[in-house]
Amino acid sequence: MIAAPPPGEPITARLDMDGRILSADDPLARLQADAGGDPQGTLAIPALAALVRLAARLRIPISRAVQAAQGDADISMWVQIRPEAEGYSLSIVDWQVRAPRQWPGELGVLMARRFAPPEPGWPWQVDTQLRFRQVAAQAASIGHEPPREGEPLTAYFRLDAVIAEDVSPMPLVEALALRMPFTDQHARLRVDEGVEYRISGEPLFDEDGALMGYRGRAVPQEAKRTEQPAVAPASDEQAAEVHSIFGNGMFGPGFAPRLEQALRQPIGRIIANADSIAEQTQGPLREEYAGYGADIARASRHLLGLVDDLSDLQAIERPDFKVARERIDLADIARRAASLLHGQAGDRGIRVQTPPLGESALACGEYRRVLQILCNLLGNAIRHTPRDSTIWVRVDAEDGRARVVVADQGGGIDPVDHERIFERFERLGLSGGDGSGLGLYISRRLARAMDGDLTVDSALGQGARFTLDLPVWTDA
Amino acid sequence: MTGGDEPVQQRHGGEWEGTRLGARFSRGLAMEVRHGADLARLADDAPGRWTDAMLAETRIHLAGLMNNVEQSLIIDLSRDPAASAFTMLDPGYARQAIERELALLSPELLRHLRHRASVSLLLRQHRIPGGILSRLESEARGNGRYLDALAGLSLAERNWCGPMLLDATMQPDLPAELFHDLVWTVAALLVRGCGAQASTPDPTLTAAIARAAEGLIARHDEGQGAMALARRCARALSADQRFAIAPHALTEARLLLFAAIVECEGGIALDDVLEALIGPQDRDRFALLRVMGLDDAGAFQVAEMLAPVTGLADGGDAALVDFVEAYRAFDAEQAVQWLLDRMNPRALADKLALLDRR
Repeated sequence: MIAAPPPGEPITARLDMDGRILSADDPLARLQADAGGDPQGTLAIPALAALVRLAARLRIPISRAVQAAQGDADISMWVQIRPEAEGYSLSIVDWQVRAPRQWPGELGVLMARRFAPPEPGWPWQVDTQLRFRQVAAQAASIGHEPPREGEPLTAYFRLDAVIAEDVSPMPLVEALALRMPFTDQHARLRVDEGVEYRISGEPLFDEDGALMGYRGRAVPQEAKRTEQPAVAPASDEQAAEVHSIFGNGMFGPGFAPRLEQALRQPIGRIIANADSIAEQTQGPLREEYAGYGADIARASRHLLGLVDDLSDLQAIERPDFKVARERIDLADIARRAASLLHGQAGDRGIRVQTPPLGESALACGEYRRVLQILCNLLGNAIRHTPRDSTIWVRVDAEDGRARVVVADQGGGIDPVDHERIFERFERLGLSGGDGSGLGLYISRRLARAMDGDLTVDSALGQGARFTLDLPVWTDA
Repeated sequence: MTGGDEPVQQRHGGEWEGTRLGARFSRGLAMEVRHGADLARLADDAPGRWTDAMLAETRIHLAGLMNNVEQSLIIDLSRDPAASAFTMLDPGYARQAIERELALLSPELLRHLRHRASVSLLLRQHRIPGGILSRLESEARGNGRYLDALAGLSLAERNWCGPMLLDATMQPDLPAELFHDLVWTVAALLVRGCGAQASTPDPTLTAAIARAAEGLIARHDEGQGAMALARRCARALSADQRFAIAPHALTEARLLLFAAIVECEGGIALDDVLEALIGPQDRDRFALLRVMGLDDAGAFQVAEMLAPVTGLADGGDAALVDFVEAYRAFDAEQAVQWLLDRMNPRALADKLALLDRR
């Protein structure tokens, strides 16, 4: 709890034109830190930040009362904000720490009763940083330790994604980005993953409409199950329906559109929203939460990659799959692929040495498919080669064949696995991380569809050389 | 009195001038009547009940605020040679010109004007004789911060209850957003007014008016407004003092102070409390009175005091008795439910209020 400053002494701060703190008196600096803001960053106290935005938008001095949550109490402030040539001066002339409202007499009793409805689970409230603000639960009543005030929700619960049609995989994440209510977020306690929860919540807004946090209920799964009817075993008709959907092989005729609708669009939304969280475009966040946003975006991109791979897989396994026969330059495509993955390589300090400008290796194939293969090979090489090493991409043409070789300095592949790595979903026992296990399978299928091949030459500890071999282009 | 579309009047002498003045007077009178009719039509479209007295008060507030802004701009522009055309406009030009452009008034400003009109109308009718120590002061003896703020509030309220003259000015103690809106409205009317007089458009004049408007906005201090001062009063009181003073604030027609106390205690915005007090729903008033602990006698006094704006006066004494009986049946549980409804998301509360009005 931040103590009230001596009466009569204003608390002051100076902000730059972008609303970032240049200097702030101690109580305000502590409130800023407590709200998860950077001491020199943009104001993280929602109500104050809203006033600064208003003063900035209208270029008018502001003088009014605002409230900020502070643990079990509220800080009620009278704030004066004055636009100046170099930014804004902020002065708090009345700082009051208030306990929750105590209603007199019968009104107080009724209020208390209304705020404790007999619902399953326990109520919670978090701020914009997803840190617990109010938890009414007691350990004795919920069977385990309740979250501590200030503890991040994501540190207390592990949020589970649910992959199912018509269901958002991470309702909380999507709702947070859209400032919407959510229900049915699957979660489990981090300290005991056997304890499952369903979380629901709704956003809280301040007077100016800025998000103040979320509040809702956490319902233990056991408690929820007792309220729901038991699930009946599937009937014969239901079983037949299931078979009709999944029994005709992996992909039905409407697979691609369904995939597009069911996965690509929601994942795209998740990526966009998670990116906006990571880049803090909607307001300041503590670094670790911005980091969570980046993690969600990265994981979602991986999912999107998997969707792309599955979509490709469906395409190349169709009997009528065809590729174009174009005049392509393997050296040029190799340079383009390298430039596409330049950032990814740079992050790991990896240098990609491509064929020098002027060198070419004309081949016959479909431009975008070859680019897809080379991006896959280069992406694999970047993931598996050590930091600060080099990947070589070479081209040549000989005996009517044009080749492009991608060589890395990674751990290499045991010769007994040389064929296995081209199988579907084969990841050589790797778990987690990137990759769907479909990239090389698809790349080889594409190469062979272009009358070429994709092979590997490697041994453990000696790096790997992937060779894409295609027919040489002839003008005849 | 001049028409809003005739910013510059030719001045002649002699007998002809008398005729001319007579014509101008007639036309001016017609314009005033039209102003009233237009404002009434605008009020018809706006939510809430508008009595004739409220319309008259609203007109005075709007005119006073606009006159003040216009005069401030004139003073600023008098030092700017680019703005010589400005001096060709008659005083009170913007106030008259708004008659033809009532759509320029934003719903937010109109809502605020309605609140101001209600507050000042009731204050005029319940002026406490001087020399008598009000319960608002005696209940908080020794609380210097509160008493200072209360004195400031009293002065600000007096500003709202000045002489009802359309040519008078009123301190523009508006919230920042509304002041911003009003200044640019006046500025736009002046630009158009000057433009109508010039043979060729003068961009330097527009720039000069814009500069003056920006300067006026930058000097505004919403903290000195009546609403801000009422909030300062409420903040300076302890919770016990707030509950002790609230009923007296209401019975003494100090709506702003009462609304600020409810805002402070109940978390309902001051504007929403005012709306509930002067709105069409008795249920809203019952809840506010019950929440702040008014007894039946207090409720009777409040009903009587609010009657000119709520329309209760139309029903005579019988309506007052009905009001108190209904209040007696409105228990604390219903008041709590009302309060909880107000704590719903603002958008939901707005829509429910709209539905209630139908």
